Amino acid sequence: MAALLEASGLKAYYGQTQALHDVSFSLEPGGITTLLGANGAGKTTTLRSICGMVRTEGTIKLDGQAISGRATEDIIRLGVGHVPEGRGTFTNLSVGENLRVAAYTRKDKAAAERDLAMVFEYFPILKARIAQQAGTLSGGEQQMLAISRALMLGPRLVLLDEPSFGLAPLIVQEIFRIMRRINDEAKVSMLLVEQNAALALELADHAYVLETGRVVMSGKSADVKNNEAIRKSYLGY
Amino acid sequence: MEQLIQQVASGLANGAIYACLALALVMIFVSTDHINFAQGELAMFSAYLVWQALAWGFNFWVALPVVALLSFLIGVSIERVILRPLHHAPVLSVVVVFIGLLAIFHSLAGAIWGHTIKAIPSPFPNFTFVGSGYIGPHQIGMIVVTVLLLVALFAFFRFTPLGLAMRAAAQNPASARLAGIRVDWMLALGWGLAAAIGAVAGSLVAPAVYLEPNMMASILLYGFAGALVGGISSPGGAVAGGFIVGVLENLIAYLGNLFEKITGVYIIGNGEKLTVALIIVITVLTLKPSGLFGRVSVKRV
Repeated sequence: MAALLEASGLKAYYGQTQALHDVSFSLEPGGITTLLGANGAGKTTTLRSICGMVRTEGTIKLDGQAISGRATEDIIRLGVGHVPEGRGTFTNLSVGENLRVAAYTRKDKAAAERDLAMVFEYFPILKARIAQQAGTLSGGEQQMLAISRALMLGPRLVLLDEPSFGLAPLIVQEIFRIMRRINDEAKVSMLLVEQNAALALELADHAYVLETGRVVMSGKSADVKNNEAIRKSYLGY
Repeated sequence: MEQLIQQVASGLANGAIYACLALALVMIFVSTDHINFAQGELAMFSAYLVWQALAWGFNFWVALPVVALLSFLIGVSIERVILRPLHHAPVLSVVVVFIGLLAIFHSLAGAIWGHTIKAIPSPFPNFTFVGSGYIGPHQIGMIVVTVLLLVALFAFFRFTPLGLAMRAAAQNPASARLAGIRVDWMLALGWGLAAAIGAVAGSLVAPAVYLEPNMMASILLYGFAGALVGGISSPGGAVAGGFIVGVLENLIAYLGNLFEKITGVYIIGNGEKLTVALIIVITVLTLKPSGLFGRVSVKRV
């Protein structure tokens, strides 16, 4: 099966500082892949590289088509949803407006309406809060909103940057359960960045472990989970 | 009493123009965080374009939409061509560019149309009505057009997908890009809208003050004052601020004259209108820095 997303020899820079040295990975369509690693390993930078938000070298291909060097908004329009670090809520807009603006680029308005109904089915709390100013939502609700905004693009692939960050364990479990359902039912592939390795390995079928901007190991989640050396040295549990 | 009503009415009419300019300033401020010092000269230039169209024999109501569209394109081009390379430049560089634009449009208008005063006739029909003694048809026209403009803009931002995208881009550019919105074009669009609003303001004020390259200088100052009093981050506030400044300057002159009539002591009159208006601005800003209707931005730390 052809890879949905393929990166090879990826390097990324913030000004003069090199954050990724040599990252290669490939995602299978329909799967959930996780990027693991300590703080500063380059997980977030990898996601930002895919969306053209940092200066990169190397190649990134989406469905065989090179996307490196393109503007963020053009990459997004190819069907890549990005749930950013910090959730990126439009705090002064209402919940409904946050969702509608996410579907701004879609031509097929009927499909956008269907996706809105789908999002409300996954996250009923958002429907209840539709007229509320999004900045007043709780952290968990804002995370749900961020995931929903990505889904409103009608994406093939969603990049998730630490969806568990700063949330209570119960909320995290709920969100991860819904992410599993979205992957199963809506056939959306996911690339998940997480600090919480145990949680991420539960959800994902493939894992890559990063250390200081390099891939140090990759494989099926089960194999990574069962590899005690990797677990102890890189995942810290 | 009659004089008081008259002063308030003409204050509202002036306020309408200040409100238009304040609205144009806010339009650019919310999307780029810049105060466009060239806004007044752009409006003046647009007013000359209207005059030119009238001189060629076009009807005012044909000329105005065409000139507004033309100004819109000028605004968009300024953003795309001149300001685009400055997106990451320090604020002072941008300020210098604005002052440069001010000088360019000022001299351009003088070079093309000359520095002698020209007149644009009022586009509103001259009719008499119950309140005719208090307020003229042109003044009523200015107020009506400003209010219509505000309603149209409100509807645009509130109810259209493009308006929503512009608000999103202004509020959180990074997230807007992640929604596939072309943020750079939204900024250009903001400039275009500001220039078009300025065109309306310029061509409405020209019949009242006569057309010449300096006509917008003091009006921009009032517009700026209106925007600050109302809250530079709030379009509705800016319009309210424009009207407030317009009415206040007239009221204060009126009260000053009244005081002089009663006591014989001259404290304040028509000459000090601008001074007083600016004192009010400073007072408001000292007590409420975000303006009367401005949003206080709160950050979670």
